[in-house]
This record gives sequence, C-alpha cells and structure tokens, in this order.
Amino acid sequence: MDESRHYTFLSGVGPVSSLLRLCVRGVATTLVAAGAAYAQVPADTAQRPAPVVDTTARRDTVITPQPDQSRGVDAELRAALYDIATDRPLVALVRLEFLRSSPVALSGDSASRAVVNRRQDLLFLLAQTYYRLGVGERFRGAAQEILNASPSGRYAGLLRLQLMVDAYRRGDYGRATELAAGAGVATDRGLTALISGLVAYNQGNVPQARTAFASAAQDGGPFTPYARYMDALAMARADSSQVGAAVDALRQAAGSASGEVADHIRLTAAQLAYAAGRYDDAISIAGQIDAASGLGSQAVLTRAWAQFRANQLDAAAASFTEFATRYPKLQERDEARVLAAQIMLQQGRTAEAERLFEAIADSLSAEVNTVQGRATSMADAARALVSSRAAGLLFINYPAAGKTLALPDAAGADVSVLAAVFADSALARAAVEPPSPDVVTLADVEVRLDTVANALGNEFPRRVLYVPASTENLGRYAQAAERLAAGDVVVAMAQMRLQEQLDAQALRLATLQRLQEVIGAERGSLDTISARLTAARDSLQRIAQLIDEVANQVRDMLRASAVETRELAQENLTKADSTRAALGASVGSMERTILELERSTAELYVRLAQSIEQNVDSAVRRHPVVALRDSLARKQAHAFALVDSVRTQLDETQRIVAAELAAMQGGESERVRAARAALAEAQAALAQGEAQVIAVVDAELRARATRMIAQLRKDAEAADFGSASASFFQVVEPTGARAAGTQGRARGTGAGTVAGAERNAPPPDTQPSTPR
Amino acid sequence: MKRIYGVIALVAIGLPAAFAQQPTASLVVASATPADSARDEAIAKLESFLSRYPASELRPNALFQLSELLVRKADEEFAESQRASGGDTTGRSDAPIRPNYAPAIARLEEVVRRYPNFSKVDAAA
Repeated sequence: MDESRHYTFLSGVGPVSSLLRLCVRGVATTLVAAGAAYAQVPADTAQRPAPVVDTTARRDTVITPQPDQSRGVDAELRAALYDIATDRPLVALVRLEFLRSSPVALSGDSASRAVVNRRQDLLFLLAQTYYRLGVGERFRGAAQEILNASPSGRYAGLLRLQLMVDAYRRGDYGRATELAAGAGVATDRGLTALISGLVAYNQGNVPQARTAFASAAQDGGPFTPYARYMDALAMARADSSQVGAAVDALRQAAGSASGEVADHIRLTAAQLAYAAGRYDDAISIAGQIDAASGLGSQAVLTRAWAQFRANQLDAAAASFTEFATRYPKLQERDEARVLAAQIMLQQGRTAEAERLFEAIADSLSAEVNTVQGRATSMADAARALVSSRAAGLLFINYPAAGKTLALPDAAGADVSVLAAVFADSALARAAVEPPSPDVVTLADVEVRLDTVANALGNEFPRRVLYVPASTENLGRYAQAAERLAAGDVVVAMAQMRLQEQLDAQALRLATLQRLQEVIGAERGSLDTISARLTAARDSLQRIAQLIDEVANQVRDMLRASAVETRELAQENLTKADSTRAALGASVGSMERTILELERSTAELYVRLAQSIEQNVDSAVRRHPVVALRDSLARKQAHAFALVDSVRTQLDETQRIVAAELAAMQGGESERVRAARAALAEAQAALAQGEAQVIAVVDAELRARATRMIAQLRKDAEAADFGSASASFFQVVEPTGARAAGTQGRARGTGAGTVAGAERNAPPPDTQPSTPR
Repeated sequence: MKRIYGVIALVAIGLPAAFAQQPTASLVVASATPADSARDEAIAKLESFLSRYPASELRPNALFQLSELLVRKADEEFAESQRASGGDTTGRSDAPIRPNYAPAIARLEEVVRRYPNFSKVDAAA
C-alpha cells in the first residue's frame, strides 16, 4: 500500500468540517511524524517521495489588536456621534451612559489633556442626546457641567444656545436673556436672534424684539420667514397705526414661505386685518387658505367674522355654517351656529331663525348633560392619553388656532453644527439641510388624537380635548412631563439593555445548538472513519497473514536450500578428505591443488549455507513488503488511537454543551436577570411618574369639562334667547320686512339680539404664535 | 273673548300670576287670535328665558323685548275692552279706563335699576 494514497484516503473520508479537519490534520501530522520515524528503517519506503501534507504549525491568522483604552473610547464616542447624527439618540445614549458608568473607560491620568477632552466629549454628546430626547433636567445638568469646567471651550457656544432655547421653551425668559447677553452664543446667529427677539417680545420690549427679529431675518437660515412674521407682528404691536403695514409685510413674508408656514403667516395677516377693521383684506387673505388644510378652521372663522362685520350676511352665514359643519369639535362651533341663526334673524327670516335657535338649544342641552355625566370621571381618559403619550397635545397653544410652532428637536444643533464642533469631516459630508420649524395645526392634533380614540372610548366627549389649556395646569404638566420623559428614556434604555442580553443569550443558545449539531455530525463522520479504518485493518490483517505465509514459505525454502547446500558441501568436504587420504603419498601436486580447491569450495558453501540458515529470518523481516506491512500496522494503530481520542473529546464536548444548553434553557442568565430587574425598577419609577402626570391631566380634563359646560350653557343661553327673540320679531315685524343687515325697530329700541351674541363671540385670535 | 278680560283683570288686581296661568287661562289663550297667540307665545318664551337665566348678560335685552310685547299686549287688550264696552271711559262699567302697562313698566324698571350701563337704558327710562 502506498503511503500517499493512505493519506489521501484519510483526507478524503466524509465531510470535512473544521473540527474534523483539525482532527484529520492531527491524525495526518501524527502519521507523517510516524512516517518520518519509520524512515529510519532501511526499506524501500525511504526511496519513495514524501507525502504532500502540510505539517507546518501556523499561528492564528485572525488579527488581534492590542487593547488601546483611549482609542476604544474615541471609537465609542464617534459611534455615538453618528448615532445622534442619524437620529438614533437613544442608541447613542445607551452607549454613552455605558461609557460614563464604566469604571475604566475614562480612567488614567485624570489631569491629562486627552482624558479631559474625552470627558468633555462624552458630556457634550450626553447633553446632545438629552436635548434631542427632551430630557431637559439632565440636558441642563450635563451642559452646565461642561460650561463650568470650560466656559470658553469649543462646546460652550452651542451649549449656551441650546440652554437658551431650553429656557425659552420653559418660559424662563430671565435665564434666556442672561444667556443671550453672555459671550459665546454665536453658533447659530439666526436662532439666537430669533429667541432673543421672542423673549423681548414676550417681555413687552418691542423695539428690542424688532431689532432681534431683523437680525434673525438677515441670517437667511430656516428661521427667516418666522423672524419676518414676528417682526410684522411686533410692528403692529408697537404702533396700532402700523397694522396696515404689518399686514402688507405679512403678505410679503407669506409669499416667500410655503406650505403650512405660509398659511400660518396668512392667517395671522387676516386676523390682524380683521382686528384693524380691514374686513375686505381679512376676507381676501383668509380666503387664500384652503378650508380643508390644517389651518383651515381659523381661516374660515376669520373670514366668517370679517364677512359678518362687512355686512356680507349671506356669505357670513355660509362661512359660519361651513365652520360649524367642518369643525364640530371646536368650541366655536356653537357660537358659529348661533351666529348663522342670528344672521337669519337679521335678514327677517324669523321663523327659520327660531327653528334653528331651538335646534341649537336642544342639542346643546343634550351635550351639557353628556359632558356633565363625565365631568367628574376623567381619570380613565387621562390615563389613556398619558399612556399613549398624547397628553402633551392638551397643553400646546390652543390647537384650533394653529398657533404652535414646533422647533426641531435638535434646534441649533443639527448635523452640520455637530460636525463642525466635533471637527468631523465625514459627518460634515453627510449633513443635510437643517429642518425648519413645524407648524402644529389642528389637523396634526386630530390625527394624533385619532390614534387614542379607541382608548378614550366612544362615550368620551372628545370636544373637551379641544378646549384651550388651563394656565394653572400648564406649569404642573410641564414639570411632570419632563420627569416622565426622563423616565421614558430610562425605561427605553433598560429595555435596550435587556434586549441586548436576551439577544446575546439567544445567540449563545443558537451557537451551542449549532455546535451540538456539528458535534453530532462529526461524531457520525468519526464513526464512518472508524468503520473504514476497521475495514482497512481487517484487509491489512488478511494481507499480513498472506505475507506471513509467503514469508514463511520463502524462509522455509531458503532454509531448506541452505541445509541441502550445507549437506552437499559437507559431503563434498568429506569426499575430498577421503580422496586425499586414499591417495596418500602418491598424490601429486596437481591433485593436491585440486583437492584443496574442492575442499575450500565445499567449506565456503558450508559457511554460506550456515549463514543463510542463521539470517534467513532477519532477511525475511527486512523485506520491504514485510517492513511496509509492519509500518502500516503501526500507523493504523495510531490512527485508531487518534480516532478514539477524538471520539472521547467529542463526547466530553457534547456533554459540556448539553449541560450548558440545559442550564440556558432552564433559566435566564445572571446578566439577563439583572437587566430584567433594572427594567422593572425603571418601569416602577416610570409608573410613579405616569401617575403624577395622570393626576395633572385628570385635573385638566375636569377643569376643561367644567369650562366647556359653562360655555355650552352660555351658547345654549344665547340660542334660547335667540329663539325667544325670533318669536318677538315675528310679533313685532310679522311681515319680515326688516331690511337685511338692520336690526329693525326692535334694535332701535335696544332689544336686538345681535348685541348679546356679539358680546359672547370674541374676535379671532391675533396673538402671535410662539415656538416650542 | 270675554273671558280674556277676566284673566287680565285677575292679573291687574294683583292675584298671583300662577293663578292666572291655570288651565282656564290656557283655554283662553287657545281661543285667541293667531296674532295674540304668537305674541303670548313670544312673551312666554321671553319670560321662560328670564326665569331660566336670571343672571344672563342678555337679560336686559330680554326684559326690553318683553316690555315691548307687554306694552303691545296692554294696548291691544285695552282697545279690545274699549270696543267691548262701547267706548265707555267713565269707569262706570267693568272696562278699564286705561291700558295696563304695569307689567311692562316693571320690566323696564328692572332694566333701569339693574342695568344702568345697558346701551338702551335711556329708552327704558
């Protein structure tokens, strides 16, 4: 049997997995080593070429980097930066909080510049994640820590701007002013100027506000349209004679804006025009806003009022009716219906007006009963709103007015700003246009509230949600909501960490199961190899037996020939001795020489035969065939030993894997349990936070229900009076002859109905919106 | 139509209004002319409004309208009574000698007294 074929045979057995390859390599290596040892045997095998088997021991080719703490931290920070830039602040936060809590991540020489910088980087990124996630308290804490440590550092300007935005959002105008006046707020001049202007405007400092708005408008950034809008409002506020100019400025600003921002500006222009008595302008501008758009409700209402004031009664009635029909949830609906009936009355359609007033009064009376029935039990609705995190909608500026302008979550710190501050050129290339402020319209609010409709239930008087927010609950809600947001973040982080552990456990489980499968497969392969080896051994034994028989035959044959040769030689020797003795002295020199030659030849044969007899066994043993047989037998024994060893190892590994699997399937790992406990703790804290918010929202809903009932009663009162008044006019002016738009004789005597209704109906809201 | 005067008379001599609004009165109203019926219905609605919303901002308006209707009613009832009595103004018959404006005056007095800033208070006075 050729050795190279032998190796090929071993290598070619069955599917060669990594484990098997290792075993096989071990077997092959052992065999080759054994082969090398047997090469000492003077046999023909030494002449054959060495088998082509790579026996060189190599190191693992996987590159294992040297641990580098500082680079590792830098890499984590960069990864967190990219998470933030790609709108995954929560992922970034998990990474950063891990770094912050790690006992070794920021260790080393605490005074070294690199460590200090890394700490600052970490704190800055933490501040950015909290800022984006709306966890104000933690944002302020991290930002202030950086500013305290490095008041003029590279992050100071941006953080002051963000702190200013945060202060403005919280209504802390003093702090916002202080930050605006401080040095280093220059990261985003447009936003800085805008916030400064808004603060000044809210504090009544109109000249300063206008200066700031003009500066913001010149910056040319995403806040430019809004700065122009605010400047126009400030102009009108500073001098009532400038309302016309303000309206024109708003028209111009609307022309350079688009979408809801443009509608928002137009709506304000229409409301300003209305407030200034420029009804035709108000009608025209409000008419440019699509009634079905997010700001349509207030556009229709403004138009209706302006038409009413402009004595365009038919159009006004149509607009009021349109408003009441399109926006039945808004509190102005009933007022609009009353006004539509009032217009009928003014037009002398007293019977129609009476019927409409009565219908309004009846429906309002029913609604009062419904709301009254729920007014004291709003806790479930509050819970539903808080659970779905929709309660914040209750506290934005009156949603129907579309006066809430939402700043982007990352206001002042978009990706390009982060890239610049962090000096990250790759991130700078990925930066996109910073988002513009977003107008929160009635449509946005309705869409969001629709998602909570099922939780609120069909019986819930949804109009309560559209009643303007109570000032007294706003502050309480803001504080509780901020804590809730922080709790949400903590829970989300705990969930992510738990999920990581569960994923790791699942991965480990899957890996072990796969390993178990592989071990099973390898065990099978090993059995196959073993069977083939056994077959080879049996075959070899038969060959060895045959070789033994042949060798014995050869040995016997050689030995017999040697004996025969020795005996013949011995006989010749005897004969030579006998012949010499018989010849005696007569033997001549020739004969003596011949006899000596014969004798020495016979002796030579005797020795040769004796030598053969003595060495025939050794010669047979040294025969290449016999030697190869023995070599293969030894190698085969080694192969069996290796297979047995591998089998033992596989069995042991299988046992360990099975035990580990059983342990993993029997329960969660310690890490998973710890993560689950942390999550439970976070959820418990969150539940407490939720309960606080629910209490605030419950109080708010009850207060709203009370106010809504009061308003419904007031509208019902107006409708009742309208109905009675319509009856009155049917008596005093039965022909309906009053000219449209006049109050008739009754008004002349002070008994008109419009006066009362007008007093109930405030003019459209012309307050500026404020971004949040 | 006669009985209506009886009702008016009851009110005029100060009997409780509730008495005047007993079923008898309803029957009388039912037999009145459509114009009277509409007027009385309007009066009833305004009075109901005043009763339901005693603190309403619209109360002076309602009082004013009601007073006008009551004046009309007084005038019409006086005219009717005059026609029924053949124009007697001596007081010898049961017919009143002048329209009964007392209910209207009471409403107007309330306007003047309680709503001095009402835009039409001068007219009420």
